[in-house]
Amino acid sequence: MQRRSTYHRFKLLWATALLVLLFIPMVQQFTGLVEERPLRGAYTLADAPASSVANWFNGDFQQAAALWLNDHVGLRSTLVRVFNQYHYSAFNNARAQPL
Amino acid sequence: MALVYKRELVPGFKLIAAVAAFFAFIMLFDRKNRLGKFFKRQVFSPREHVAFGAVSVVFFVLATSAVVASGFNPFIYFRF
Repeated sequence: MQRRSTYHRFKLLWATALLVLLFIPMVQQFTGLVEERPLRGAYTLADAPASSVANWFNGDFQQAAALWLNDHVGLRSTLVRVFNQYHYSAFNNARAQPL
Repeated sequence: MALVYKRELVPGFKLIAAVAAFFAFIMLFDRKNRLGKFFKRQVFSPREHVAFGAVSVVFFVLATSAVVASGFNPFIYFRF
């Protein structure tokens, strides 16, 4: 019975750790705990969406919010670098835009 | 004038297709049902839990980075 209880606690710990992992991007977005190097290159981040009743019902708010969220998700620079490196290492394909 | 449309495969398509085919049809070759018995077990050792967890974390990071890098837009479903 003692060994089964330890096993149950171990499974609970692992499930909790994976759930915490899911919240890391959101925590980083709202607190900015980790200092990240910004991405290099010419790009502009989306502005915060203007909230109004008209914008909500004609769909402008949703589109602007989607663009803003895409550009301001937590650990974005790191994740983009990870994906670009994975793409290059696995498929020998650079994801940089052609000039 | 004939219009010729040539579509280039996305880089990595062949690899991903091969991996997908492998996992889709693997059970056809598992005559003794070893894989099925392995995953139907109720109890896994702590080492197996750690291994599965590590694989899950790697896939989670890769999937999240792919979504972030490609510009996921959840509001496409608002256009109905």
